[in-house]
Amino acid sequence: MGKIIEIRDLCVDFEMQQMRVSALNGVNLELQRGEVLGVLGESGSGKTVLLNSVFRLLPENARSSGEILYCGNDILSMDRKRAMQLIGRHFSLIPQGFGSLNPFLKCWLQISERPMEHFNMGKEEGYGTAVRLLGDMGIESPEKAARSYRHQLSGGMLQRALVAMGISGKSEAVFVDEPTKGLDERKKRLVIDLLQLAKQRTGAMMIVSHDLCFLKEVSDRVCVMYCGEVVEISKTRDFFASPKHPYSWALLESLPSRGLKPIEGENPSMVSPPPGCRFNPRCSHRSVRCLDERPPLAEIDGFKVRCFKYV
Amino acid sequence: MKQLSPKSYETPSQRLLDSAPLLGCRDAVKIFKSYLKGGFTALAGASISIRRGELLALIGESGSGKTTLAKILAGLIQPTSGEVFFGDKPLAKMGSKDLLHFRRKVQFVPQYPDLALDPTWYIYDSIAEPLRIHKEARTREEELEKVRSVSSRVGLGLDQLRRKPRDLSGGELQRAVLAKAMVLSPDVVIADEPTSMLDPSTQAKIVHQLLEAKKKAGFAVLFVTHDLSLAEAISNRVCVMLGGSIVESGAASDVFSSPLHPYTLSLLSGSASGLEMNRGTGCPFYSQCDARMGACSKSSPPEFMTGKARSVRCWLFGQDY
Amino acid sequence: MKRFGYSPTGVEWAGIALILAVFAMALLSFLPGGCFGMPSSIPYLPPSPSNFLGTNDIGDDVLAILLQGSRVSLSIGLLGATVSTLFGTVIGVFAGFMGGTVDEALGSITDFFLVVPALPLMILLAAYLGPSFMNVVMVIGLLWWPTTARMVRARARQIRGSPFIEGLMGVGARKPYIMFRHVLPNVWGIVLARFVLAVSSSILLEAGLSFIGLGDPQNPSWGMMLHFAMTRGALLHGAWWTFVPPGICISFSSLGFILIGMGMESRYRSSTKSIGDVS
Repeated sequence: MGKIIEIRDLCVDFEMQQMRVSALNGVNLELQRGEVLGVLGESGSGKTVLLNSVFRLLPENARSSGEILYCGNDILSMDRKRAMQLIGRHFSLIPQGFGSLNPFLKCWLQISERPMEHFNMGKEEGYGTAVRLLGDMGIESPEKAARSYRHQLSGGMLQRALVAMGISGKSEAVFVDEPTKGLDERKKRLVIDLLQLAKQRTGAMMIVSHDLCFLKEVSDRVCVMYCGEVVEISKTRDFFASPKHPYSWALLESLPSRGLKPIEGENPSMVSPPPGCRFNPRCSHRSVRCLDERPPLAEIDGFKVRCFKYV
Repeated sequence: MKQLSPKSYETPSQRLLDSAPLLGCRDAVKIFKSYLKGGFTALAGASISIRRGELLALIGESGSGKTTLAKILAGLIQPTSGEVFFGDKPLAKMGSKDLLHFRRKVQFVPQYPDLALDPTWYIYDSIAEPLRIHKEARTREEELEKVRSVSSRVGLGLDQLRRKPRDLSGGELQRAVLAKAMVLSPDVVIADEPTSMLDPSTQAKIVHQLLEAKKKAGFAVLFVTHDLSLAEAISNRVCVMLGGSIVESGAASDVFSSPLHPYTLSLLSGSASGLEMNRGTGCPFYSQCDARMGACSKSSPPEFMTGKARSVRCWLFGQDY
Repeated sequence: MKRFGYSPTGVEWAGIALILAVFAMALLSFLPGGCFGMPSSIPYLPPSPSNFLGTNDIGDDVLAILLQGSRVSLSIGLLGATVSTLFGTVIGVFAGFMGGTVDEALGSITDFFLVVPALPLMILLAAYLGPSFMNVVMVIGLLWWPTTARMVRARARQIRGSPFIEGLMGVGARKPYIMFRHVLPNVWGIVLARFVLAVSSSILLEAGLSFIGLGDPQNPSWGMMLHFAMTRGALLHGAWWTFVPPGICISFSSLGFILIGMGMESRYRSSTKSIGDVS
């Protein structure tokens, strides 16, 4: 198994008026060939910033350090034009929500936009690809759907179009942003099926989500983020059977099916994160050490966890 | 925060099930006019009743009409036919005084917390507004006292009350919306998917605060959700919605342990497929039902009572078949 | 979260500077006569140390008249803008919030005024009502409200559809209350921006009306100065000092307001983009 992307010590800060917000603090993560990696985090955990840094989509006021390596090339420090070309040719994104579909373009144009832009695919071929993909996803009349505009399609169709956008061209890795936000069970089931299909057509997948139950079904490995840090990376099965980090544990407990226990305390502020372990004010296992020393991301038989309990 | 078991809210006492309904509707139909498609039937004859002090979960998928039903119960939209009653009076026949009373006693919590408060107002003013509209607080001090007590009940500090909506997180906003709904000490709070846009831990916290407040103030809650496990964890009674009508209702323990309607069964077993529902005549679940019969495609089944306070809309339970 | 701190951009600074200059001129005009140059008996005296901007056809000091004119132009600009913005806001909020028949009726009135050729009508009105200060204000007010009304209406409609208004209805708030306390504060940004833009157009309109001789001769404005320069042969004399300064004043003062208004409008758009995102 090779690494497709390796993120090393990625730090991203946002410069706001008179303050500096640290969105990512030393993230180390790799995406292996052939796996589905779930990045799990609540709002404000930095998971979207992580995704945006891979695609070089950070806003102007962001200051980043560290490396995002693809085949030994650092995407982060590379010349912008070359980076965009590299990203476009090798990665693709399944965006969040239907808002990412242009209401004035026909569906197939958007589905095949990436291969047409980066692999010199002709219009005819692009249309054919879109129709074939939509057909594979179980749409009865793919030609009609491909020629429709956004407002003419139902929710399920749009969901398929979004996934098709991600897998229309060949790619090393597909990134998925919050695919299940606000969807009900039936739609979630559809998304799971679609992503399973998508998985067969790409090297690896990284799914950013806050939906635990969803990640449980689709991912191979789970990376838990809290307040801009990676706190745990485990195999999905192990994670749901026995989460290691106290935060992961508390997060699972907060699911309705597991007791609906809220995590004590408030979400930390990104402007002034707590010193030491960032979870310490809410942690039931905290010791004196957690208050002022940042625990390392320790690797212990197969999982990584950032907690002094395991050091 | 004190850990409390949600299960302690469950098991409705017999007295509760027998008590007269507080708010409800009979055979509510809502057809939204649309110039393009001729009209869209969001509700096809739904009847529901909420009793004092209970937590009734209204389960349904998107498009099942659950939000429409919630809004009709809250008096925000008028049903095309059918009637809404509060206490023993129908809403349509209420005078302005009774209507004001209804507005005070029935509160609605919308789904998107980020648009539920005026962006130009301070959170404090937004929460205090219902008091001002109904002239419940005679002095500034009394108003402050009431707003503070209701805010602390949902875990909002003075610091957050001094801000505007854009400076709060989604969870804090939803708490502010809850506080606004509870400030008039209502009898019924209708919450339309209050936690669907929130993170799991925030959801757990807000649900707990809602339950705590409910226990203290004793209001009834209609909790609209598509999350089955959440509904199972908190509710006394459940109504399952499909295609604009309520296909099954009963005590939560009964419905979740022994679902009657094939649709509820498929929801609970997680075998629901990604297919669309039947929008034509007959049972809305007809196209996907494993137990379908000839009658199912012809006419929509009526409500069959299968036990005390337990009903199901499926021909399987009709005596004639 | 981004705080809405108001730090003007370069363009807006330029606008502010121009407007301040106009206000300074208006203030200077209150100084006692003769501070800038005595009226001379000689017409069309070129600029000199005693008359900075020379004299006009009847030997009056051009600078003194220019300062006087700033007062007139500015007050007509502000008043005309107030009238038109007030009108447009009231109609826009009402139409947008009420919807239905009210909206349709007000909408067609707005559309009517929008397609009426403004300049000929204005000339007609001004000629019919006779030249006076208030009439010019009224004419400008009557003709500039439709665009404001449309923009305010669109925004008010958007606000009307957002859940917090629905929530307020659910609590039992009355419609006038909602309109004043909730819809109005939410359209305030647009109203302010439109007001500033309206000032600029009012200044221009007033100049136009005065130039063709429909202004108030009692209160000579910049447009009136151009009018006199045109009709009394300053052009033939080559007395550029009688018409270049008012021309510059007109363009720069209206430019100042336009710059600020546009800045405010774009700021307002970016700050309220999120409210329409959710269906």
